[in-house]
Formats: sequence, C-alpha cells, structure tokens
Amino acid sequence: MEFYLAVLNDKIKLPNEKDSIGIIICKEKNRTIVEYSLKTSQMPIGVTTYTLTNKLPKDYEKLLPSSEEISDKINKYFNKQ
Amino acid sequence: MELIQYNFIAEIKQKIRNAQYEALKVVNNQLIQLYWEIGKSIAEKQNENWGKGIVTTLSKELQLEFPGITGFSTTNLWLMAQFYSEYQTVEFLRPLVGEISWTKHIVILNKCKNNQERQFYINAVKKFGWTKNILIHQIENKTFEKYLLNQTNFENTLPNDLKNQAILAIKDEYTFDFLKLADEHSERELENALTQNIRNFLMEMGHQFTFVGNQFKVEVENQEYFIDLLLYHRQIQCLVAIELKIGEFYPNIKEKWSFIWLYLTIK
Repeated sequence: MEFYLAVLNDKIKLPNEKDSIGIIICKEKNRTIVEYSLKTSQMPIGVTTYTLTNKLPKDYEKLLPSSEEISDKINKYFNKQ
Repeated sequence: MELIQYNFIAEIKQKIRNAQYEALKVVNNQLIQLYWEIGKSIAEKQNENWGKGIVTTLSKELQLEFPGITGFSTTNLWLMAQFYSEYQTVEFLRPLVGEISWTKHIVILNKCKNNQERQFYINAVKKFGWTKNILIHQIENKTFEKYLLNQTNFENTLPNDLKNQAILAIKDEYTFDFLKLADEHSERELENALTQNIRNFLMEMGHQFTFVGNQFKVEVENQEYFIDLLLYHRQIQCLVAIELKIGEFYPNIKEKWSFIWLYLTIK
C-alpha cells in the first residue's frame, strides 16, 4: 500500500490535491496486529473489514472508547467543514 | 430569450428558492420549539402526578380546536414529553433540537439510547441531509460505532487540519450485503461486484467519496502496477487507494521486518 500511495502522490495527484490515503479492506483482522502494523507506516492508512451479510453486528459496546474520546471525535469532525 | 434575460430570471428563481428553504428551516425550528414546550408542560404535570388521562384529554381538545393540523395524537404528545425529559438535561443535545425534522428526531429518540450516539446522528442528518430511511438504515447498521472504532494511523501521519476531517472518513467494517456474492469468492470477483454496484458501494463507504477507477494502472520504470479501486474524497480532497483482501489482514512482506522489530521492541 505504501508503494501505491507514493506513486499516486508523485504521478497522479494534482497540485491542488492533498496526499493520498490508503484503505485496506480485508475479510478479517486482528485488532492488535493492525495496531502494531499501522505504527510501522509513515503513510496515512486505515485497515477495515467487510462482511457480505447483514448478520448480527459485532459486540461493539465493549470496544467503544471513553466518553471524552467520543465527544472529542464528534466535535472535531462536525465542527470542521 | 436572450442570455442576459435568461440569467436575470434564473437569478431571481434562485433567490426565491433560497428564501423558501430559509423559511422552511424557520418553520421547522418553530415547530420543534413548540413541541419542546408542549413536552415540557406535559412532563411537569406528570411530575405533579396529574395522571396519564390528561394527555388523552389534551389530545382530543387540541384536535377539536385545530382540525387538520396533525401532530397532536396521544402518541405524539407522549413523544414530546419523552423528547423534552431526555434531552433537556444534556447540554450538547439542546442546541441541536431545532436542527432536524420531528420525524427524524423520533427515529433517533426511539432507536438510540446513548446521548453521544444521538448527538452523532443529529449532526449527521444535518450535515449529509439523510432521509428518514437512510437514517434508519445507518442506525441499524451501527454506523456510529463503526466510525468510532476505525483503525487508522491518521493521528501520526496527517497534518492537524486534515486529521480532523479524516477522523470519521473510514469505518471499522463495511457491509456489502447488496453484492449477493457467495462466501467463496476471489478478490477480482469482489472488486467487479463492487464496481457493478457502484452506487451502493459509495453509499456504504460513507459520504464525500467519488469513484475514480478500478484496476487503476500506474507505471513505474516501464513496469505496470494496478490499484484495486481508486476513489476520491471530496472533503479531504485526496485520492483514496483501496486494496481488497479476501483473507485475514497480515502486515505485508516488505513491512514484515519492521513490524517484527517494532513488536519485539514494544514487548
């Protein structure tokens, strides 16, 4: 992914555009491995999963960040246009 | 008609539309404020132990007095009371009350119990103009959780102004249930299916994404390389390269050594 992003930034990106971002969409991921892996990269990358069925959603309750962190994210995102 | 006249008329039409839109916003705001006040009065009387019967009587009286005006059913009156009781103590929700329509407030009131989740969806409706059905779909799909739990390194790799915009640009999981794809599929099949369902795909990716290409070719030193999917994010104004993997995520070989090194140093 780093390679693609470097090439895009160098050859495809227009002068008015910001540096490219990468998303790796996998069938499954281990959250801890993703955390470590992302730390090794200097390029902006996100690692996500996909599902083909609208099955029962994962148990997100336990994973949610602290209330302060959530409101920080919401405020930053919606106040910045 | 001459162009100059055409432009003149188009300009006036636009002014009328803008005024209509502004007027609608004001009307909506007034309506929600009214519901809020009614909700407040009912809630207060309930605290004084007036009994539930008063709401039924109030509903009947209001419908007699204002025939043809909907919104004064017993159910709706109770929702107003619930709306007031649950939102009035929450500082970050009160300013948002007049921002979206009543029907969408009801969806959020009924389906979300967490106040921050409510704040998220009210903001999202306002910002992205979601219809009621899209809103329901987003809530049932756990969009709030999926945005909050995304795993990116943007905190360390993007400048401050972009970080804030990108913070909710990626979800933790995407639901591609519109593909009708078998559990066993190749990366190419997945990519083709996504491209053929481009509208659903972009909607599931979130807002502000546009399609640039699939198997997007880049050439380096006479060698061709292909990016599975290339999108563009209008708000951040950047290209977004997407790599599809039908297996489990594993740090790629080139990164493997730095990965192991980091793992060992942290452990």
